[in-house]
Amino acid sequence: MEYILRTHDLGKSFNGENVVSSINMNIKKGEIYGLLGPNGAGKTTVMKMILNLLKPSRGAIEVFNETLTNTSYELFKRMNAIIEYPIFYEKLTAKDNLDLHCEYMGYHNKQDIKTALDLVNLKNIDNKAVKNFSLGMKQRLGIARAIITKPELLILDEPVNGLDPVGIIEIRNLLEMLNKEYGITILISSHILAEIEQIADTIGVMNNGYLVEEVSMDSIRENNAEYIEIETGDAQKVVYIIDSELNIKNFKVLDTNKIRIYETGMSQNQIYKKLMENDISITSINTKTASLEDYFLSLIGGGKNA
Amino acid sequence: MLKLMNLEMRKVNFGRYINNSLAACFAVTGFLFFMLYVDRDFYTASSTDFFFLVDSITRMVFIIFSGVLISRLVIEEFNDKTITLMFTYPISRKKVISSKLLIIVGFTFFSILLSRIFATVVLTMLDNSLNFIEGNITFQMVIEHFRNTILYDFSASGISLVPLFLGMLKKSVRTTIITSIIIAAFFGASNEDLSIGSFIVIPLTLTIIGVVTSYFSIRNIEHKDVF
Repeated sequence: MEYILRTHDLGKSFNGENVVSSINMNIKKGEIYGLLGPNGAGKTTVMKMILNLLKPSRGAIEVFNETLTNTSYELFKRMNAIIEYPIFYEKLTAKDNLDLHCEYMGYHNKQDIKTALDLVNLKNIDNKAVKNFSLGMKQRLGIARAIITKPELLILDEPVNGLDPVGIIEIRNLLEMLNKEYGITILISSHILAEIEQIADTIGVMNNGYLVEEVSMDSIRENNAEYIEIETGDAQKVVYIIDSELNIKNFKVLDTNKIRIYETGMSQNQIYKKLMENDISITSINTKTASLEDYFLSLIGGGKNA
Repeated sequence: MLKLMNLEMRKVNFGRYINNSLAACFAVTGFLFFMLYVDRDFYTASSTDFFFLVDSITRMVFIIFSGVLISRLVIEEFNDKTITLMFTYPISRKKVISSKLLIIVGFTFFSILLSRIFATVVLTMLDNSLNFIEGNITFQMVIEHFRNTILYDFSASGISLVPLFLGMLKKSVRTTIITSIIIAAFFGASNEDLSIGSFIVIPLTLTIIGVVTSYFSIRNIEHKDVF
């Protein structure tokens, strides 16, 4: 597997205080990597270090298989970003801002400016200075600016802040499109799980400056599926019933008296009835829905799990 | 570098500053005329006084003007955080800042020189008919004077970078402008000493001070955190 960005034991302190510690992040080429964590977890600090705005106190960053240094200017041609909130030359128009961006990036395909503005659905802004834009419009313009040059790595720090619900969906679709069609690797951060769980391939969870967990969404979904848990004195009999009578194959015996059923389409009531009919005593039966939210909350809960 | 300078000028709408400096140039000329003409009976300026006045006032004005430019081109870019955008571009940070400083120095130099020429020519012409300066000012005298003092214009543009150093410490527009006013007051008031010994030394020292302080203000820029 080819990695587009890796950090090795990355850390940053301000005035002797650790803000980010021993981050080992691995972003594969072509994936969408969601960086999740509460406010103040250090997400922005990590992103700023990748962009060379903040200098790491410890460790190293490897982008496109090269170690990032103070003068890795060539690497910056291949990535683009929005950090915190999009920053523009407010007195200039949107087009001027994008035009300047292209000039500084050394990108000369000026028709792409219009394409990018269309992609983020910004219209009727021809002679308007950016300072008159709403926050949502600025976000869109910021995303337009970040994607004009079709970078290989796109870094987005809370890109849907200030967008309306329709806008959030539009941007989500846009990011998926960019990822699928142009193969752009995206590092996106958020403090809201729902925003990124739908598009991310891998999720890194940060808390208190540590990367608590880095897992693929697939494995999270697998481990956190809904299940029915039965507690009983006689597990063997229960297994026999659900296997032969109810034809359930997807279950797991945890220990002598706990059974988890992962099969969908079978209600708790049906199982209960069947067991009653066969005169099997059970201590409890209930449905567990371990949502992703719970999972992440457990990871960042008070930071004790770090 | 020229490309970078061009982009910088586009960013701040530089035409406005050219207009402003033209306005300043006319204002200075008008002010000087007023001063010399109104007081002509009470105190008639000699040709030395005349040159001194023209030179010191234009320099003072444009040293302060350069303080404004430093604020706009450098300090405000830090305050508005647009510098975080600039520093993610594939261009060396030193180059970005240097292009800004070159604009400031170049612009200050030419503004001072051209304003001096403009004021001298206009006032000399007016003097021919209104006669408020003692003796005659000949074309030869003007040429001679400018040949001797052009280095001072250069040093004025150099010294105009000092406010950058202090302004950058606090990223403050106010500090920058106040420093440039103080420097203008000192520098503008000091006489041009045309004796051989100091002819080169003084302007050179001032230029060096300007260059060294600006070097110190951007020396560590590549290693600094930008918030």
